[in-house]
Amino acid sequence: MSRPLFLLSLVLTLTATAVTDEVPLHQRIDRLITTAEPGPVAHQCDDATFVRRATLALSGRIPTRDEVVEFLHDPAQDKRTIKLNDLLQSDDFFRHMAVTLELMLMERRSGTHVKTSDFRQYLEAALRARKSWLDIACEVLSVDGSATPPAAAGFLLQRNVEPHLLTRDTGRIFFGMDLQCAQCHDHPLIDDYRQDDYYGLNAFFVRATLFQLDKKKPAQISEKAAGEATFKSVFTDREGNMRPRIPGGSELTGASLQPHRRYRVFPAKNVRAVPVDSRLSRLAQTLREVPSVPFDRNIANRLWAHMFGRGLVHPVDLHHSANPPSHPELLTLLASELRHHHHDIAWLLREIALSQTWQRSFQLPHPAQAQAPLPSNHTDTAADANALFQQADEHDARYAELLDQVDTAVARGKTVFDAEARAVKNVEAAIQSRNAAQTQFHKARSKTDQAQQALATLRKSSASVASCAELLGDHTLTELVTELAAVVKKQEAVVPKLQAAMSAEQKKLSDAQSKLDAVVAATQPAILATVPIDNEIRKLRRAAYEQRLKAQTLRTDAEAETKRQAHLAITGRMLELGKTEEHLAAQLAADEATQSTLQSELQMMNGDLADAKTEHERRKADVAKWRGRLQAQEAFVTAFAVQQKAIADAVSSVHQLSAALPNLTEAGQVLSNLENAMAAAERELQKHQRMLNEGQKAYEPVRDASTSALMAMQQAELRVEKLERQLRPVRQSQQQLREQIASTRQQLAQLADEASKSPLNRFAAARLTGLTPEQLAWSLLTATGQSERQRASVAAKLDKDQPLSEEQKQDPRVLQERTRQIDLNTHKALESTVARFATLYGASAGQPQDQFFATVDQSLFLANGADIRGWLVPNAGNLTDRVNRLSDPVAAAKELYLSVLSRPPTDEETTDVVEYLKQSRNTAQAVRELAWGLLTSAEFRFQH
Amino acid sequence: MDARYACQSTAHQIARRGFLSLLGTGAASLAAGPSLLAGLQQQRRRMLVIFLSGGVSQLESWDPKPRTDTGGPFSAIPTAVPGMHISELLPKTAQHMNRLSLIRGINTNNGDHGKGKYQMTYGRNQMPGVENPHLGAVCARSLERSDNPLPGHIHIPGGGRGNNAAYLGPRYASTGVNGKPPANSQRLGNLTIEIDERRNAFRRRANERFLSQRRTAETDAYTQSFEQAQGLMEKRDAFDISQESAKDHARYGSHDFGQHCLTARRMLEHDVPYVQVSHTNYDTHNENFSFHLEQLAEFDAPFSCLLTDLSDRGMLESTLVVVMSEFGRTPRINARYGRDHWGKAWSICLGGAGIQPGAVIGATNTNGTEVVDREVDHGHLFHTYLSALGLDSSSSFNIGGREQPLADPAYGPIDELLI
Repeated sequence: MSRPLFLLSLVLTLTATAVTDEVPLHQRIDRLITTAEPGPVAHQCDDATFVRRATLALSGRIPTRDEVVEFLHDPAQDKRTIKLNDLLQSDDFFRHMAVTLELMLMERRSGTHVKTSDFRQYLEAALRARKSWLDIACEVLSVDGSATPPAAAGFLLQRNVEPHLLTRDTGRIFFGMDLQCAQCHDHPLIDDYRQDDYYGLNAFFVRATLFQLDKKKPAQISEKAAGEATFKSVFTDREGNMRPRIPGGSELTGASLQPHRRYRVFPAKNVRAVPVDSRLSRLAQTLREVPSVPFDRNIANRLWAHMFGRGLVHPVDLHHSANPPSHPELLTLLASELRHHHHDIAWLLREIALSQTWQRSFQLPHPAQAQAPLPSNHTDTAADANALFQQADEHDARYAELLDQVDTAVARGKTVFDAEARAVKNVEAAIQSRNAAQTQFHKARSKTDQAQQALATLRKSSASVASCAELLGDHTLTELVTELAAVVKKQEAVVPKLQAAMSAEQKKLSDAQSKLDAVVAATQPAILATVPIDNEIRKLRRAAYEQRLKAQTLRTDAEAETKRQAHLAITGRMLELGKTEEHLAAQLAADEATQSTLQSELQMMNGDLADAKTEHERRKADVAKWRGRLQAQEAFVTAFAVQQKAIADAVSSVHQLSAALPNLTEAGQVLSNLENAMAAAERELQKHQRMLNEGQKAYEPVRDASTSALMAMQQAELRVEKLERQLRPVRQSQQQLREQIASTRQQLAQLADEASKSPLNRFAAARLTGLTPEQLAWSLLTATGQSERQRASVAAKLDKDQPLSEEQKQDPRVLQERTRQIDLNTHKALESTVARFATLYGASAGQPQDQFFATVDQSLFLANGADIRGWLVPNAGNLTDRVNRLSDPVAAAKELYLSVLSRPPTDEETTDVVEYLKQSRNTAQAVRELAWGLLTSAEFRFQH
Repeated sequence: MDARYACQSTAHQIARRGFLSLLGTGAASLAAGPSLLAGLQQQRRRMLVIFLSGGVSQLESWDPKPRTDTGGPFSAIPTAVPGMHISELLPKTAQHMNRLSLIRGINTNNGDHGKGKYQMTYGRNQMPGVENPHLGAVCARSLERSDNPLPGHIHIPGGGRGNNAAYLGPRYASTGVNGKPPANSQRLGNLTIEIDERRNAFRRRANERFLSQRRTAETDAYTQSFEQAQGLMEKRDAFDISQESAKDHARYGSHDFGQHCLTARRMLEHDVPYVQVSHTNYDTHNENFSFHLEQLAEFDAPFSCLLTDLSDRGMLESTLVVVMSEFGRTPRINARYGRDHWGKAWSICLGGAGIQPGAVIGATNTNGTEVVDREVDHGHLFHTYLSALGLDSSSSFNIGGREQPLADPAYGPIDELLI
């Protein structure tokens, strides 16, 4: 590398480091998410969605109508940040997070020892006091029920301190690993979960038991100083025993105490044993002293899942290499930052909420909006994944070798360990006899003491009676003196006997003690003998475990990379298809343009054709008319010609007649008449002939016009035909294009579906997550106005029972306290209502609570149950009452939507409501129906 | 998610329905499509369990040992299957044995009521830190009918919802039936059918608008549950046995067990996937023989009515019928003429869907003190039931990404009993 380049890269590296140190976490979240995410992502959600989402996530309910309106109208640029800050400081936040943590820790287990509400109160107080998750975890894992606050022991006590149950749930809840299957053998499906993981954790709990003197007394935890987590695989018969070890951590060592020095309170009947070295305390101590990566990753992932409805690792209790985080670097970052910020829950939630990733809309983007895969050489990384898998296999091989060595060492150590166990038992038996002897000795001693005291008292009273008798010389008194003397004598005889018995007990005690000492001394070698082999086993196991952890890390990375590759392939294909779709759509658009040009031309042509047809018809009519007229003329002409011929014939016959009959005098007259007629006929003929000629002349243009109209029509017909011929292929190609587009879209949708299942796409859009039972209950109470009503009645009661003086009403501190009290009482009053929802909407006790399910029971409850029905009865400013007061149906629609769905309605929705109200005869009833319809809608039921 | 609903081909619609119906626990979906379709073809199968609570004596029922030191006073009678004998206390049932089979080699090695009941109805040994779903929940989930609004897992008698579905979720937990329809299944006050339809139509319109933006399997499960609720309201009388004829009431008897069997028939006719009827009082540490005489007489008549009716209605070949207990009773007769808890060598009776009729699987020795042939336990039985119902008992549920085997993977079904 040339010097300038080297310098440049150095500068770049330095700035990069500087930037990561200062850039707030939420921006780094976005950067890591977007770099990993080539697929299409949703746009930012609108303000209404944001305020609903944030309030549900941080306050556990939907925002009130007023909160929505206020937020929507807030002109501040940074109103989202302000809103988040407000929410994180509200009482609701602490309450909601307490419920959330309680659900996470207890999973609706309700036991007899600690009330759910008490455990929640403990958590709420801890959160208010800004206790970190680490503090809380350590407290709930190590308290023994004797310390304050007792409710913190709920985690252990509600599980009856059952070691296996605690092992499983601690693994799941605090370390994100469900090791259950590894109880009897290495997990058959998950490589990373081994039996020694299970028993390493189990070793913390195996010595603890539930301790309760009688059912009325509070339960506590008793813990022994002996007992190991030993196991044998039902598959392979491999045996082992584990010292306490948290996942990913080291086996606890520490000097093994002498058997007789292991207890603060030695176990006995009805005695709560307290060991010097408590394993439960060691669990908390370990967590505090040695940073645990699985612990940090678990809580970071669970808080992320709380906000997104899905973890980076999901399910949240299956962290292992075949189920890698969707965004490995991000999880690592969150975990380390959370530790850096002292496991501050509120801090991490705030950073997540500030990220653009969290503020994405729930509406899925069009698949074609996929971005180009980021510049990185895929084939290289694919090769990397293979290389990583290979390296992991190598570590596995070394692990297997080391494990064999562990087995050999365990086998070798068996006799030594058995001897030690026997030795410890001997010592404990000796301690028990010593303790028994001690008890006997104490009894004897106290008897002796009592006897001596009695003797002293007797002597004293005897003396005083004697002196009295002497003084008075009373006979009866003298008798009493004698009697008393006898009693004293008797007692004097008793005392030495008791003293002797006491000495005997003392002797027994000292024998027992020396026996104990002897046993301790005698067993010392047996106990010491275990040290080297024990060390050897732990060392080997540690080495083996390290190999396994290395393989696990490598394999996790390789799996994540493989998943990334698969995702890239899908998104790459989506990108291609998206382009194809665009191309086809463009083609279709062009075709459509051509078609529309042709179509409009065709339309014009058709118009022309129609015109030509009309013209042609008109001309045809003209011709017909003319033809008629001409025919009439011709008929006239013909008629006159016939007449003329008849006259001529008549003239000629008259001539013949007058030649034959010369004296026919009338002939001249007749001829003259005939000639006149002839002339007249001639004139008529000529006139009509002329008229005919004129007519014929005039007809010619009419006929020509008709002919040209016919031709025009024929041409127009031809043109139309031609255009239609042109249009046909365009239409066909459009059809084809549409089909192609449809199939492309289908493929895209399939790919999008596939991609949406890919972990890398998990956060491309906000997830629709069902509200938890508590969120649902509080949201229904908020939307219907029932919680406000409850609040008002609680406030009225307080004002009546403990009225404030005028002076107090001016004191902001008193008022604040009053508000807090009202708040508290309101929540108490509604507790049983919320619990009803939990019964109906919550998963079974002891099961993960993050699964959505819908049952008929739930729907029937919403449809016909008394709760919702009651809340929808109009009453003192509740939802239906407010809507009823609005005379404008449009305003009514707005009020309903703002109150229930936390957003204004669209025009279509307003119309729907207005129409509904219009069609109904009973408006108040209709308002209830509408409110019910929105409260039971999917939009209300889900976080989005 | 859109793509899932884009294609409207029949196959896809069926698959989708199946897919939806499996959504009780949320986003969970069965990974394998083809097996789902295969599952649908089998979906008309049902299961009826008659649970003789307290532990019925195998010697007074399915595996009599007359004239032995352990046999007690009752004799064995021939049945409809040549060579198969059962106790004389079951004369009517004996006539039906050509439809039923016996498993006589059961060794559950347990004498505790609670543990035994768990073994037999959960198919596994109870272990701390581990929760499994009840057989009924497994059936309700695996044989769920998306078109049937009735609950799929019914226990008679009982009330309310059980907590026995573990990871399958409350949707599949038992519903106790006590002759009353489920809670909230009646429209109240001035809510008429018309109003209800109108407001539901508004709800649907609101949903359509929202779901056109984004639709998931979970939102579908939610909206569908309202349709199911409407369906259930229409089918309220499915729970009402007063609708049955006087003749049937007389046939089944007016005592509790008779009425419960009649309810069970009604439930099965409404195609409920899993129905369990309990008959109590078999824990006969004292006076075993007189108690069994009385108890089994009460059992025998309604049970044979039920078999006749299921058979006449053509339902037996699709209904798996199992008569079980938490365990059997000791061959040794104690000083109070009683028999005590005994899980080492006992029997159950089963038949119907998927089961070869008239078979006897396994055997105990002459006086019934140990299994001498084809020893099985609750693990095998659980696999056998599921297989008979057409399910792959070695498959797993995928619950939110967690693989949960239907039955204990260490076991398998009794293959020779399956058709």
